[in-house]
Amino acid sequence: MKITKEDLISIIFLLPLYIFLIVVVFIPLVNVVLGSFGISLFGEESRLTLEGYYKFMAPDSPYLYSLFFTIYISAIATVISILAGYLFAIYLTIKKPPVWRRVSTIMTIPLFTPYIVGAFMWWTLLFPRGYISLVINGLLMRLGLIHEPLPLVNDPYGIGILFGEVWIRFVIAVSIFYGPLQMINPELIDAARSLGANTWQIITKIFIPLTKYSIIATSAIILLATMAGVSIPLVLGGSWPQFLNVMIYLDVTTTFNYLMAFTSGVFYIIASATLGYIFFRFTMRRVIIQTR
Amino acid sequence: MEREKKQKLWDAIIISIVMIYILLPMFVLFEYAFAEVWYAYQLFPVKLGLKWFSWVFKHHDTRMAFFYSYTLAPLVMLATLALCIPAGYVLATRRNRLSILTENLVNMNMALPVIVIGIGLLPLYTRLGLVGNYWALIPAHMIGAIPYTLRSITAAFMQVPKDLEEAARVLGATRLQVIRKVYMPLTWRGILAGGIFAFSWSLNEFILTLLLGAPAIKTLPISIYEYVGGYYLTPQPAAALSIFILLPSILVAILFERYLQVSLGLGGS
Repeated sequence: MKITKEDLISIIFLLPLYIFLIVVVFIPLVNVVLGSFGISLFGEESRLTLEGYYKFMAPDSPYLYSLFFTIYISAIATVISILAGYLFAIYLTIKKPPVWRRVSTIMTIPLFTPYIVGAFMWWTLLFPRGYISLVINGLLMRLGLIHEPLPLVNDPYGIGILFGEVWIRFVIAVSIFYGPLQMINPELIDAARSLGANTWQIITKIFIPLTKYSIIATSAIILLATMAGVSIPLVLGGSWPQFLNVMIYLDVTTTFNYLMAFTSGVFYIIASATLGYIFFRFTMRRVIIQTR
Repeated sequence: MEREKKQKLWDAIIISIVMIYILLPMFVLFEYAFAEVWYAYQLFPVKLGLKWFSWVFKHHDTRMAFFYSYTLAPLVMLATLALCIPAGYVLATRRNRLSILTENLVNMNMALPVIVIGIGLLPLYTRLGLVGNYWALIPAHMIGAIPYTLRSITAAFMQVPKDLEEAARVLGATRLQVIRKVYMPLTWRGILAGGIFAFSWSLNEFILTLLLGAPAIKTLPISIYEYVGGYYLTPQPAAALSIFILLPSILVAILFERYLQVSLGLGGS
């Protein structure tokens, strides 16, 4: 194979990016994977061991439980955000409310709000004296469903995390869905309407089939982002169960248990790489075409 | 006529609900930031004022946090652009196997939990004596910014008609001239948007700074976390600090919406 001048230029232009990726992403990843077997690239002593994996996979392992909790809460947050976001984007597409043009900027604010600030803002709403907590608990107690206030933040059910995540992910979902929905030929909708289709039929027969790849890919992006984000579960999560990334953080900073942190890291990589691969492999190129 | 009025009412109701949902957390944040006196049993603060803002500026730690956050962000932006502009150009103009591989690698990066990269970097940084080093935080902040910036820049380069480059090349322009005279004028919006992405990513970056920078270097998000997380909770200074990363964020959102109209154009046009 002959390397042409064009190839050489491509390589030179891409080289800094590759060096960056190797040093700052690839080496750390190798370090995590080797570290989970007890092999240390930069530390002092190495000993080959499977102890981390035994501990992780043990039936009463807090790590395994934590992984399930992470996936479970992230999945719920994703479903809520995607459903609400898609419906709202469709509403904007069909009705084209004139007021929207004036307020749409507000909608982008959560996209640029630091997660830690978002998490903190929701904490102030959900802690026992926060507005939402007062309203929800007041309502539930008046209805006689509960007898003492329900903890809505730092709670064992992940309610606080859900509130914080959905606030950001809903907006992301709307902003991603809005583009592809605008690309749909409005004549299709007029045609369907004149043939007697109702709004629900238009959604299920026109909108969803034409945007299905962007729905799948957006779900993947949101699920991955929710699983990976640390700030929200760190601030809004309870003392137990915790997101796996919070466990990893605590292992590294408080107990210095690098072996378990690395092992959890490997499982985290496997979980997100699998998800990422499935979705990106089959949808990304189509989505780029759809959203552009 | 009657129908139109009804529709308008419904629009107003739906949009208001969504707007309240988006803005309510911010409203409470402002309440905390400006509340000088707020008794536990009352719904609203009794006295508003700037006490907490002056409190924030009086403390050395929080003052330094401003300095670190607002000097790191432009540096991260420049470094990210320096990496992504040449790469984006190649990815957009040569759609070969290498480009697709690169795109996939960078996208994979997005799927990786940052904390995992963080704990992998920590021993490397420790070994090199870079923990708590200001400059060493720049690459750490770039990790999350690169996928977005690169995509924005690649998209911008893709919108340039290929004939233009060929015409310029035929007329004897060098590669550098093609970039400067053909691509730059047509792609600056995408590049600016990518740069702003990197800037705001750096302002928001939390966990890697916490792992690799703290306690020597505390940016604004770390300071906020210190007041919120852990066992002692003082929402007022955290709220006052939050305002200083929220306001630039809102500014960026407006900038994107009104002037750049890229990728996030939510019904603007």
